Amino acid sequence: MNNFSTWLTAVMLLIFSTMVGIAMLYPVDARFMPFVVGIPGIALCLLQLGLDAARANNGLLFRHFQTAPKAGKPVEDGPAELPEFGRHTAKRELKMWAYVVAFIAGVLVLGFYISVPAMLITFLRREAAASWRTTLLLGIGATVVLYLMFGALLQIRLHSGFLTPLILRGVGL
Amino acid sequence: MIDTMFGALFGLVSSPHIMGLMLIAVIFGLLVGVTPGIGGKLSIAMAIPFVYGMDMVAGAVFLLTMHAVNGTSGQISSIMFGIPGDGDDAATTLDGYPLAKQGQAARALGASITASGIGGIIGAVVFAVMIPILEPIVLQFSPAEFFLIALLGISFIAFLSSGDKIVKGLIVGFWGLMLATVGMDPQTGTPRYAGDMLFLWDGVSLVTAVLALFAVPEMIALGTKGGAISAVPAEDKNFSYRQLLSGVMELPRHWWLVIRTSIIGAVIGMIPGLGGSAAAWLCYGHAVQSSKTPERFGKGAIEGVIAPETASNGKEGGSLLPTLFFGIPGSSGMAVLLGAFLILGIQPGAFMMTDHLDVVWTLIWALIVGNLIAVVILLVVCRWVALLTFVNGKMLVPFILVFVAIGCFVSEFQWQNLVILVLFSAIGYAFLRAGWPRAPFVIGLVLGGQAEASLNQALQLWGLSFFTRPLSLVLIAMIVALMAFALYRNLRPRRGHIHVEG
Repeated sequence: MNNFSTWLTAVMLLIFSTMVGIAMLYPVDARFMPFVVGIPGIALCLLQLGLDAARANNGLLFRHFQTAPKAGKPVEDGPAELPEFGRHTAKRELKMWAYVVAFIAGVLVLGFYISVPAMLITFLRREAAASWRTTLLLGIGATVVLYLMFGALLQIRLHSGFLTPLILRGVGL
Repeated sequence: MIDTMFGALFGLVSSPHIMGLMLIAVIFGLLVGVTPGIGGKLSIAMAIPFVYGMDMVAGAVFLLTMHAVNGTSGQISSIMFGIPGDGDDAATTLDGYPLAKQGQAARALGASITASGIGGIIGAVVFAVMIPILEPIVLQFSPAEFFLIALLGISFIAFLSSGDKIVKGLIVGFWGLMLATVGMDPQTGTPRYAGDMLFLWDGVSLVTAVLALFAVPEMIALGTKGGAISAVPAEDKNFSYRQLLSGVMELPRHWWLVIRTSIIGAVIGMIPGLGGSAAAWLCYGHAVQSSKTPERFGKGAIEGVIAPETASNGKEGGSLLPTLFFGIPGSSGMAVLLGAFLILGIQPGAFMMTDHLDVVWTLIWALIVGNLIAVVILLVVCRWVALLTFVNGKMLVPFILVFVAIGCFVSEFQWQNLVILVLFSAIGYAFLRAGWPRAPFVIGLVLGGQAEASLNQALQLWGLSFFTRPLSLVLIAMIVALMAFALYRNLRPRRGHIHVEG
């Protein structure tokens, strides 16, 4: 059984159930569509959980059959190929997520023009193993291009962060 | 119609602004197509925010051109290094790589690039031919039929999911539908799931949702896996432009095969769910079957390069038809493109035929002109473009992240969308990691609002009797037949496999 997929189904079931539960508080007309969509959603999640459970049972039976004395020695297929994602990639995945969350948090607190070069330099140096020269060139260059394109050319005000304006005011800028 | 047709062509080629955008789109699309790890869906998702606020036609032409030429460059690594960029290019590898090993890489590239371009053009022509055939049918549609068309689109979710993923695909699609209910209820004015959060009163930002479901998960996967292809030789020493030209000249020699496979590709493109891989493999098989010397295939037959390339690019024109006229994306790439069209203000449906036929023709011409530009550029630079295959994916990840964050913010200038982006990305990544299809989400999110609005209108006009209108009955029969076929396809014993996009 693909445990991750089953957990995901359970999470989706929780999401659908919560949304249908919340919809019960709305007027009849307003809750019509959430019910029309949410209730089949719940049913589909339950069906998928049932299918996963059935497959898990079949897998268990198959393993019992394979390891039974009459089945003899298990077939040697050579070293198994690692799946695309699994325990072996978990650390790298978490690291990537840490970058995403830290960058978005950085943008919210400090704004784009501080978070972008900080993230680019950190990532290129630490993860892509780029040289200091390439890292600084790309990090600073990309930020300058960003400013020229959005700030100067398109006149778009990117989010300046919650803290940066306060700090700039504090230092009299 | 003739006036509209040629007026659209004149409007396209006489506008330096649009032609400039097309050139950028072609270059960007070709680069993205050959770079490992960045697929067509990710590139469109990343580009959506930059067309936000752009003129409707210019933005749509930009995105469609980028999407259309994406596959044209993907074949380069298949031929030169035997590494298919995606499923569409796998069939090309069978004969393309043996040709490269025989020192004829340039000939194979010349044939495949030209075949891809011509396939794209013929696909657009097939779409154009279908317009007068479909017009009288589409013009009879009322809110009742629009609701059922939306349901039909949603039932195509079953087609976008294959094998044991059918239920998972439906769950994802229903989640998209569920999120479409977020925001102000059109009937009562109740802010559903929004509470005091004003930024949610207009619903979930489509840009944020698309970026979260497609761009961020792909980016994290790219960062986790790397993506550089470094264990193959970097350059083919036998490359010559004379040989490239001889490859181009293979197309007139096999003109009948080119036309047949392009039309097959376009027709497959019109059937939602059957992707470019199905078109490419089907046409490869057709080329083998119709050849007098089938034993050459797999050893370097030029027809084995031409047939899959014309088909996989020919399907783009075909898949635009259900996307524009019915709001039903022909492929997962078209699902993202459909979301982008809505953001630009293009509402798919019968209005495209009555009120925006000029836009439709402009898009058809964009497919044709975009493919021509792509072929010319790629024939000149394909030798160097191939080197992009060796770019380390990790070098691209931080730049994609910056693009995504800016796009998400710029789409509505709401910082809260960045928080939503992270939350939805977690679910999007979970879908990717568990191997669940993600395209049904966009279909659900896009069609959900349309289905609710049409249902309300139909109920007000006819009550429940709208289900018994003749055209409604036809559509209901189609939905039932579709679901029955999807069930049959998933329950029957499998002999071969056709890749179904998701």
